[in-house]
Amino acid sequence: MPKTWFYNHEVTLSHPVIRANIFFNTFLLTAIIGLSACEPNTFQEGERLYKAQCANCHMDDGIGLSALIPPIAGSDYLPANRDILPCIIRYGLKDTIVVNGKTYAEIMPGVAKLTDVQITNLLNFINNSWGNQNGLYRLEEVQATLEECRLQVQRGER
Amino acid sequence: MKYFLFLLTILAALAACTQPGPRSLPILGERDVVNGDTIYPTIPDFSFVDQDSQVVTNATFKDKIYMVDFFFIHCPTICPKVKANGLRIYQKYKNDNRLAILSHSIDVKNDTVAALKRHAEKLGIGKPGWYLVTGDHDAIYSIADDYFSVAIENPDAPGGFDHSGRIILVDKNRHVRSFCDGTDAADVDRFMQDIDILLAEEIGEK
Repeated sequence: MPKTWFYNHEVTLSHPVIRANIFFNTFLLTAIIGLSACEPNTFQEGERLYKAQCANCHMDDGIGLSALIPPIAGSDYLPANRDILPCIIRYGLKDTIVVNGKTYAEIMPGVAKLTDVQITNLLNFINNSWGNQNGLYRLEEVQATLEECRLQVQRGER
Repeated sequence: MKYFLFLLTILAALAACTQPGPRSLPILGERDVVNGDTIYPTIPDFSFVDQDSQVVTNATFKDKIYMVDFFFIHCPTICPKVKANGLRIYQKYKNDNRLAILSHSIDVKNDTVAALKRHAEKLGIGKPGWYLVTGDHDAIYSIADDYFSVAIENPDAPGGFDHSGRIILVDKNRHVRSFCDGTDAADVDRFMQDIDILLAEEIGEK
C-alpha cells in the first residue's frame, strides 16, 4: 500500500517547496518583529542627548521651570522658529522670547560640542515628543542652517 | 492547637508589618562623647541677607524646621532640577509656617540681592517661607560644610562652581536630620515623608 504523502510528516517537512516556505515565513516573522522593535526607538539617540544636555533645565518632561526656563513640550515657539532651532542648540540664545504668550529673558547656553547629526537627532526627538507633532528635520536641512549660522557668527551678527 | 499557634504567629507577624509606628529620624553627623554626654554636631551661628535685603539668622528659624540648599542663578547644570523639586516642596508646605526654606547662593559676585529678588519672582516664590540668601563668601562656603553639602569654586566646572544638589533638613535644635538628592524626584518624595515625620515629632500635629 503506498504511503499517503499528507500523513507523513517527514516527507511533508522535507519537501523542498514546503521547506522554502517555512524558511521564508520564518524570515518574514523575524523581519516584522525586528522592525516593530525598532519603531518605538526612532528617537532613542535624540532622547539620550536630551537627557544629557537639555533636561537639567527644560526638565525630563519638557515643561521648563516657572518664568525662568520656557517649556519645550507644547511650545508654540518650536514650529514658529523651525529654521533657527539648530542654531539655538549650537550657539545658545540671548534674546528675550515669547513662548505660549509668556516672556522669557534668561540666557540659554549653547551646546557647542554637538555634531550636526546629533543636533538633527535631538531636534527630531523634541519636535515629536510629549505630544509635539512638528515634523522631522533632514540632516541636509540642519547642515545648511548651521552653516548659515556659522557665517553669521563669523560676521558678528549672532 | 498547632493550627491555632500557627495562626497566632501569622497574625503577630502581620500586625508587626502593618504597624510601623512613628519612625524617628536620626541626628546626622559624627558625634562626640564628652564627660558621658553625647554631643551632636550643630549648625553654627550665621547671618546672611535675603532677596528683600532682610537679615536672616538662626533666629529666623526659631521654633521652625527648615530645609537648606546651595545654588547659583546662572547654573547650567543641576540647579534648575533642584529648584523644580524645591518648588514642589514649597507648594506643598507654603501655608505651613512650621517649615521654612533657605537657599544659599554660592556665586556671591553675581547673585546680588537685586538678582536674587528677580530670581525669586521668576521662580514664583514669595516670602514668607523661602529665603534666597547671599553674604560673606567664606561664611557661605564654610556653612555648606556644616550642612554636609559640597560647594567649591572650580573654574573647570560648568558655570564655575562645583556643588551637590543636596537638600538638607534641619530641626529646631540645629541638628541635621535628613537629606536628599534634589535632582531625584523619587528621593525628594521620600524626603517629604521625612519632613512630615519631623514636623510631627518636633512641633506636634497642626
